[in-house]
Amino acid sequence: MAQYLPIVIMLVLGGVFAAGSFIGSGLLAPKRPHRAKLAPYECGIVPRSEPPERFPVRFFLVAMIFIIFDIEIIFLYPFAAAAGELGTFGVIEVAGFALVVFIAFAYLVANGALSWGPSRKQSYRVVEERLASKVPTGVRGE
Amino acid sequence: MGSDLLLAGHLSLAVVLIVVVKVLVAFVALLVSVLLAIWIERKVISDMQNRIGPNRAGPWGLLQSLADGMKLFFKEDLVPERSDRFVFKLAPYLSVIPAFITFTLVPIGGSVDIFGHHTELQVADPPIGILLLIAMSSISVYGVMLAGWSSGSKYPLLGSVRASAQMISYEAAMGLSIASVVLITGSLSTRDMVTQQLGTFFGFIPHWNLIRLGIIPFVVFIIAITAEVNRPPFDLVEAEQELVGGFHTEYSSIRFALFYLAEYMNTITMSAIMVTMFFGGPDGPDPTFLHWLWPILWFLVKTAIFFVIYVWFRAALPRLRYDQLMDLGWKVLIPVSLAWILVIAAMRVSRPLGFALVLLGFLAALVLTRAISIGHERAGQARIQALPGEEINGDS
Amino acid sequence: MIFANVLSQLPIALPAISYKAVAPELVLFGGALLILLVSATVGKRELPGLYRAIALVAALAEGGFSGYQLYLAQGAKASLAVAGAIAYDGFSAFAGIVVAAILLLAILIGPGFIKRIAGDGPEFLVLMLISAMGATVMAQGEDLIVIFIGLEILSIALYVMVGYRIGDGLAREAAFKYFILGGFSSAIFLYGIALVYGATGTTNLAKIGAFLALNVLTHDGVLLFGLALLLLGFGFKVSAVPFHLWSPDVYQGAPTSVTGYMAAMAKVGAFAALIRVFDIAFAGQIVQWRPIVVGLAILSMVFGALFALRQRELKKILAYSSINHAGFILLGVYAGTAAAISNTLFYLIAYAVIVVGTFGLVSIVQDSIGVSEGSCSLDQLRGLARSRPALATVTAIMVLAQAGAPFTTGFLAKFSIIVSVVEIREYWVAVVAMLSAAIAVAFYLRIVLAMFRGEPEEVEGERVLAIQGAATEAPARRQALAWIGVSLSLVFTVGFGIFPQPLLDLAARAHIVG
Repeated sequence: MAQYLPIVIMLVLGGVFAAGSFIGSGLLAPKRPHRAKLAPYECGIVPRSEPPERFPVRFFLVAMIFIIFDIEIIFLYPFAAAAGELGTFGVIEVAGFALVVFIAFAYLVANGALSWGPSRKQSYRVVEERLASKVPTGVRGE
Repeated sequence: MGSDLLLAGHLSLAVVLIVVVKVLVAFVALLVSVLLAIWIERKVISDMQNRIGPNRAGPWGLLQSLADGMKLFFKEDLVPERSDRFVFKLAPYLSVIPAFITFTLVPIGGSVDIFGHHTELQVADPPIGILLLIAMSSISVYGVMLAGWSSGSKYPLLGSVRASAQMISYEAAMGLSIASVVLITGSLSTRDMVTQQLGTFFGFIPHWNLIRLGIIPFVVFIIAITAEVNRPPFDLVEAEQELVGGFHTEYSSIRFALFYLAEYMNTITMSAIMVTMFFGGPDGPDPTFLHWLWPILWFLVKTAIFFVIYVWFRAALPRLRYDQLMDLGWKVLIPVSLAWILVIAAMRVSRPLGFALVLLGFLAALVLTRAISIGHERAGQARIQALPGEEINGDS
Repeated sequence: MIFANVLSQLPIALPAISYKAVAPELVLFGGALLILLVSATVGKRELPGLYRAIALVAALAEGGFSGYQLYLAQGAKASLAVAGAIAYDGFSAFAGIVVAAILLLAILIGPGFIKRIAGDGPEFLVLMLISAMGATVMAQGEDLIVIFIGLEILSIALYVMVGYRIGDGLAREAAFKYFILGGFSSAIFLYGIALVYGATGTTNLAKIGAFLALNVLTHDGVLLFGLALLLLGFGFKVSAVPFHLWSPDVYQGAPTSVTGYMAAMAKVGAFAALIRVFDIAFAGQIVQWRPIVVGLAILSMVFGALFALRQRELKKILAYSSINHAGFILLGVYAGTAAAISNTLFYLIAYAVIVVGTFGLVSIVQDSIGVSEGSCSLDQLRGLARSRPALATVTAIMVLAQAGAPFTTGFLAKFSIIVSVVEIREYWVAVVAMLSAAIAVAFYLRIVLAMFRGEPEEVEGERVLAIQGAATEAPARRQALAWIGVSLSLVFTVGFGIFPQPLLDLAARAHIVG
């Protein structure tokens, strides 16, 4: 474990540096708190609502899909480090594993799990079509 | 296998002292290089944009960043009312410390003898080697995420959610391209990576991983880490027009400075890692005199070149849109680097297996393109179903 | 392991993969991947016919490979494969056949009803095939880690399937409960593996058996605690009392066809692994674990039967009945002789086919009387015999088969288990088992009576309304395939109930290697 000694020293040093900066700033900086200063930054407008607690579920999806790939990468590293010895066997096994992950990934992609963007062109086209076709009914409705 | 001979045996006081000196030198060097890097960035960009840039503090404005840093010490340090105070104060540490630790992995030169102890010019060479880089880049996601979350304000929250999704997305691509370097090195140690790249093909083409691996892992890596450290053109995290300052909007004074520092340290470290992994690290022509100096010089020159390339990116490239960013990461970089590492692994075993995997890769590419187009179609349909038909009628 | 070798610079021993031994798993998993691939590359998302065809082919191929293994892997041919982590023997082959039977029936019955809830996407069949693969991995696992992986593959797919009716509050609660408790029990199981590893120095069952045969542990506390935790993990999966608390809610909340599939598949996987772990690897510790197993068995039989008497909800009654069955199967584990093991396997296949068929019938009933897949009280069954005589009769036969009526496999199964218990001279246990079976008959009869009593008019109006509201497709078409599945299970149950010999012979071939 002695190999990790420099890393530990660096960790301590980094921590001390950050803490020291805070202390230095605490000694040197003025302290004149004011309600406006402590309020959340909203470009000068007084905030009326709490910050949103919810954000699009796609971010969670990305996190979950990331875990799949992270696991694949975790399995790839031991293989990569020992690829010379594992030879053909290793390559075929890893390729099989990658294939499984790939098919799952293709399924995710095909179901739009990673489509953030607007396939605007299409949905606008449909809106226009609807507008065109619905106008008479709308008129009739009115 | 990675291990610094210095630390292999008994840990005498002299050894510990050498280690402390090495760490201190790396620490100070990193801080000074950040000051220089900021100056270089501002100068280069202002030249590219036909401006003058900083020129007051010190000769050619060299001391500008130092002056900025000192100024920030005297600024009021605000902790917003609605913030989660503990996490708010914790986040800068989580950003800065990983940035320092990652740098310990980089071999900056050959090996030297100090006080009768043989040691490598590298702060640490642990057996887990490059995995430490991946671990630290994962931890720095926490720094960004917690900073935004704890601020209790909407722009930081949105910025940090975006940032963490972006960083983990590109972390996968980064991990895969690093894996191909590990594959060809047969070891995780950065020192082994460097020694494996010594020598030349045919006497004049350097035996660098850039060439040994084909260009693709390098291209994937440079794109992935640009996104990983949130540099332009992947700086959606702090897209001013949408999110003010992104995750550090609520940070002021020295806390803000630490995030800024961490960002530049990461950029420099990543340039250095890139040099280590793909460009032979300290490898280069070695005249007979001053044997220890040349590797360091080559290393510094290469790292500086890559830093300037980052600056160039910033000046030249427009920011990506978020969906383009995600599409690039997930649907291009990850599949390409995955296929590439498999092809390399197979080619090293035997040619027929290699070509079989190339074929498989093309097949996979076909399947993926098809899946992507279907995905767009289905997402479009879902959106169309969600469109309120009644409102359209009403509008007309 | 490989990583440690790399670090220590030791040469890596490459295992020889016997594809013959893992063929059943490969076929199932390949089928699942193929369905996913088709759904990702063919423009239309819902291709029910194609998906179902692929799944059926995979299930049949799995059954074929297992049958072939049962035929081949006899005596000296039975062996350990893949570096000793997978057993290639008659026992696992027979379990594979049971899995194939469950899959076949469930694929015929399930998707038509799932379509009402979630459309005709590929996911349901994929999850089904993957969880079936988990069960075969558990049956073949000769290493505790492999068994754990099989358990997780099985369970995680089941968690998702249970949550299919996510719009419904009860179903959401059920899925969440199952997920949390299941994850917890998996963790406990894993901790048990760690303790067994600590006590014996290996996770391989053959090596554990050899180690315990050669060495006497001076302090066996760690081993026994590990055994207890393993038993707890298995007990949860098979829902033995007192680890049964999740099962009534989950059985009710899950879509009915999933309930049947889950009841059968989880039991097959868990009991196959349980037998291999306890009756073979820890055969030397039988004195220590026997009292616990018999305690679990008796509690499950008695409480399963008694609680079921108090229920008015059909699916909850059947949940307690499955707890009661789990008690019976545990008795086979408890007896532990070679004959008892083959009797247990016979019980498993009989039970699996009956339970999938029964829940398939419940699906049809719910569909016919127009209630959701979540609830169906005994009152709602009233008059079913008048309105749908065929349905009521078949349901009655299957329910009575569960009770152990003569001329069905259910009877033979219970009978042979009790014989096994008598053979090891534990008469009082046999008496308790028979008593619990007698109590159980009471609640099975309540279901039958509910169907054959009363007038159908009471629910007529409600029924018409519900069908018009819910179904976009005629129930007849939805039920056609389900009827095929149900008929198959009926033919199996009654056919082998009258001519049991071929099946008994098959079960008798299922020896465990080692």
